[in-house]
Amino acid sequence: MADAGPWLRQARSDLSAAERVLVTEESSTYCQVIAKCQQVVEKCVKSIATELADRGIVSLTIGARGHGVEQFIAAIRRAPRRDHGKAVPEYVREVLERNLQEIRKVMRLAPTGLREGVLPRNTEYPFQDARGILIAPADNGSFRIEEVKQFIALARRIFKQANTLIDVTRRTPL
Amino acid sequence: MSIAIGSFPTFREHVEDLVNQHRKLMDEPVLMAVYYAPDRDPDDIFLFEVLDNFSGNTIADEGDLLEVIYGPTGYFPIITRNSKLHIILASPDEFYAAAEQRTPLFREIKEAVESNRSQIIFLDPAWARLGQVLS
Repeated sequence: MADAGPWLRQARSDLSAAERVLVTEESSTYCQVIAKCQQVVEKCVKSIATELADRGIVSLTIGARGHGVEQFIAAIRRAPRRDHGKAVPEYVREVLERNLQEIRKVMRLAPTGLREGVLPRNTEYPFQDARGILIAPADNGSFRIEEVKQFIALARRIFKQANTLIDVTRRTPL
Repeated sequence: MSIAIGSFPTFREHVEDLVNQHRKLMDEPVLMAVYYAPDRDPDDIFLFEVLDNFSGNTIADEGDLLEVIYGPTGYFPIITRNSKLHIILASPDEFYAAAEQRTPLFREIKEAVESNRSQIIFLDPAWARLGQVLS
């Protein structure tokens, strides 16, 4: 049986690293902070996935095209639901729905391959800016401080909610 | 309670309700939903959905379509201790790629369609081509 604990412990370490790496006056730190925020979100979602799979509620099959954060969220959103009343998966669904847009936003800054022949903006590898010029994620202007603050806030929120959800799940009979 | 392939499509009404729930997720609209009965897991229920914007409409280089398995939670009345609900999810591009590569899940769905062990629950008229890929 897998355990959600290690995922959450690593998420806590990533969140702590994100907070320490940030130097507001140095824009070269922004990409590193956002990359750590992606890691926090991914590990928190995987901790929830692990817990729900352990309890036989939802599981993704091995061999699918990636087991990313978005696939897991899609699975939770499509779980059969009651007409009324709430149970654990419903709370999980609500937390994910509430943060969905921001989760997608930060996860789509994770490095990928070419998209329609262009290297998309990401936190790790050089990419093409709006003029088609190759720039580094650490370059001034690649990321804004407002984005950094938004994603740190998201990472803190998701981390707190993942801990709560797992606590609740473990205390709730099916 | 045991559900056998022979009982297909006994649970169409429940599956329709589920598809209607999914159609309310407007950011990933359901373009096609197929209730089907493959040869494997005869006690289980299978639903295939093609969704616009699913996973940002990106395609992974390898692997099959995403299959999600739901255990008994009391949410879906037909899921019993011995049966599960399987939902296979894809974006249109993933679906076309799976058809081209003849992936195991695509073949399973196609075979069910060819054996009259499937029903289209919903097909967006603007996406009729999706249905043609299976027929």
